[in-house]
Amino acid sequence: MKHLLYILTFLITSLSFGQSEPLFEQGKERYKEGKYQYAINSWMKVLDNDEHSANLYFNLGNAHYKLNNVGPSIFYYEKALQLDPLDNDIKTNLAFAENARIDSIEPLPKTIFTKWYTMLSGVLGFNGWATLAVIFSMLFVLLFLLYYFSATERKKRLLFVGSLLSVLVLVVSLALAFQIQTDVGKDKPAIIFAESSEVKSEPNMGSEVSFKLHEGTKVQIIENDDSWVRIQLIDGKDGWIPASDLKAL
Amino acid sequence: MKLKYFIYTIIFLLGTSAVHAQVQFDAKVSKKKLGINERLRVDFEMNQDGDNFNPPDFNGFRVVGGPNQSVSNSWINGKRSYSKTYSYFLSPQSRGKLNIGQASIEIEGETYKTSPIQVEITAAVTVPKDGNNAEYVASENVHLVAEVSNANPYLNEAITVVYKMYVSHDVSITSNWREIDTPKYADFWSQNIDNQGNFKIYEGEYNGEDYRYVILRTTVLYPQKTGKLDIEPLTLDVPIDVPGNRRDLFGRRLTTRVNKTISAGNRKIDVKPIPLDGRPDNFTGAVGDFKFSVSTNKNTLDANEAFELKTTVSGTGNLKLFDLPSAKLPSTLEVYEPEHIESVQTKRTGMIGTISETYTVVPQFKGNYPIRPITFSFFNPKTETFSTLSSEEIIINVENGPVSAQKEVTTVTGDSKQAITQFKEQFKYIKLTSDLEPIAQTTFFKSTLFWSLLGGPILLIPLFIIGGKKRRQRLADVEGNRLRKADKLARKYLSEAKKNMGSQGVFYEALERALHNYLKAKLNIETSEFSKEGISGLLIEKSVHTDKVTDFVSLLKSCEFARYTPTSDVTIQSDYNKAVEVITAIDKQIHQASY
Repeated sequence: MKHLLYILTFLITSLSFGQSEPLFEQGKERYKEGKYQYAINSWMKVLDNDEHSANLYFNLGNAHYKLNNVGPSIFYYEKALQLDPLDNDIKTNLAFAENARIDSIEPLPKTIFTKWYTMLSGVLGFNGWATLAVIFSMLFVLLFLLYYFSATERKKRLLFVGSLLSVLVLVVSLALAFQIQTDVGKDKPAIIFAESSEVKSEPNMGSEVSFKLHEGTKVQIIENDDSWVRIQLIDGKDGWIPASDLKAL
Repeated sequence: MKLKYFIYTIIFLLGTSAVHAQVQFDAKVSKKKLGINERLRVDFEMNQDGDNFNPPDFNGFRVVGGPNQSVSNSWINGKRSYSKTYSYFLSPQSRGKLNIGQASIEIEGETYKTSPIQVEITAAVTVPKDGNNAEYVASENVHLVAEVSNANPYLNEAITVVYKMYVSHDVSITSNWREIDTPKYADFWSQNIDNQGNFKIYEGEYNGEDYRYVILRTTVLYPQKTGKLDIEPLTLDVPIDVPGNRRDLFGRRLTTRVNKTISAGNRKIDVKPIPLDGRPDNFTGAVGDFKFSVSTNKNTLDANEAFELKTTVSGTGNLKLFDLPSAKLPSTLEVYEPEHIESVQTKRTGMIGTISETYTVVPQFKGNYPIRPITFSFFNPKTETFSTLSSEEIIINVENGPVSAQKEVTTVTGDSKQAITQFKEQFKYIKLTSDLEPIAQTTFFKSTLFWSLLGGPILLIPLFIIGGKKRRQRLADVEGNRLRKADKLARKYLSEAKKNMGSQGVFYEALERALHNYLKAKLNIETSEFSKEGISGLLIEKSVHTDKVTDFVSLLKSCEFARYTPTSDVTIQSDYNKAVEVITAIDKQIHQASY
């Protein structure tokens, strides 16, 4: 039964691949002609087919930027960066879009360790680190066995050190994979879509306004309560905002 | 005698000093009985100068005037008479018997007090309506009226108060009047419309009679509070010339000048609050009828060039009393404090004109900057509705400049030593390859595959180690190796026979062939044509035990025999096992012989 399901999903995805590629091409043509809204429509249909890519999100961001939709353009660039965190084109165009947003929020200073950590998590996702762990576990076994069966003293010493090193790398990458996965689970970024939104101190309309946010600002979702979301800014401020005013990445 | 003179002198001295020290401090009232609409004058009189005069608190009266101080000092026949008077004008506030309390003063270190006075206040006394009384005539012929354009306005809606002085044809005003009390308009924003002292005389009617009137002043008021508000009266002191009945030598009527205090009555204004229903969020209190626009002086420029953004509200209403909606601009545009320009005239209908704010904006970075529509809401008291005006979206296109502060690349050229900033970063074009993948991705991390790939190799370590040990043991054990080899050989030859264990004929045929093949392989002799005796002789020659040879021959025999007689499965199985055993044994013995 389960196998059948897999086959079915595979069939459906291969089917939709056939539909999505022309839609992507159509979007490109329309973008070239300057019909940005039509380009967006085509590309959104690709997303409706449950397919995506960093390039698709990047193109959507470009089209929205051309239409001066600051919020959506930042949203799609961020989406693209999630899939491809090292792409310079995306970073450049995101900088263009961020220049056009109204809020400027100073991030809290980071320690050197968090900087390293963000760098490492940017290089490989938790899946990447998991693959690395598997590779090194195999390497360790290979080196260990070679060490065990090798005869000469010098070879033995070299192989032993090699196997120890690969165990070290294995443990580190495994730990990183775990850490990154828990962080990814906690990390719920969202982009403000409303042109201007009041952040309240409590999740109801009548409560006090803490501060105001504008289109395109990136926030972290901490809690959810029906139609209200508790958000936190990168400078540490937090408050409640109607769920309709933002869109989770 | 001497004593008598001495006593006289003493008495005389004492008497004169007593006369000098006689201090008088009295309170006097002009009337002991008066009507409630009349006024009362109280004088506190003393015949020597004193300090710290302390008047009574005139309970039940309102102090209309005073204290007025007067001092008289006269010498008559060398005799000095001095008097100092404090006067108060009082207006009673209630009927009945009222007490005027004690006043006190300090004269030469001693405190003196007046005695209290009781005054009786009766009902209002009618003013004599004597046609010849100038006062009466004046009061009947001059009126001050405050006309309010709208007694029930909305908050911040303009109302006009016009003060008109009506003068009948019977009297005349020749000299100027004096303002005694100017209204303050505490809860209003007010502006007087000045008529620069030019009073134009209009003809009008007052209570159905022909009057002349002048407009003294026009004030535009914007109520700043809701509820019932008072407009304080304007009070004037007007000299009025009343013509009398007497005439002078030339037959002209003699006029009497009367100073009359006239006042426009207190007016109450009921201010309505601006309705809450349908009030837009960005309503900041603008009331009137306005137009709103936002404009820039250029739309395309380079970074660090300045442009101006101007928000303008024009129309009629409380223009000076609300804030213009502020422009919200992207944070990377440097915005300076706006310049506020008002060109507003106040007319009788209210303020009219334009207010504008001009922002100077300097873009820092390259890109397109949309300036979102700015909305402005106001309440129109005429239609009693809110209107929201929205400006057009403006796009500012910054053509040249850095993308962000960090990405600026600065190089110094050798010759001119001039810093050249390269604006390398361009807005990147769309990507042309799709690279699509399904959104629903299975995560490799923590999947069964991941765990098995991670742990599997480690589990392999003991397996490999045990395997290695086994291998070494086998290599060490030569005898066992040979046995295993022979067994393997036998099984190899008998594999076809084993396959056909189901059918009897094929099995025995294969078995026989296998036995012959074995001998052929071992001894390099084709034995199929040999008799059984020949085979056994050959084997014995190869120093094989006779019992094994017998077994081998008997096996061959049973193969032949079984071709023609049916046997059971059990026999087939036992024959097969026997064949394996015999081949193994022979093999072993042949080898032993050869070494």
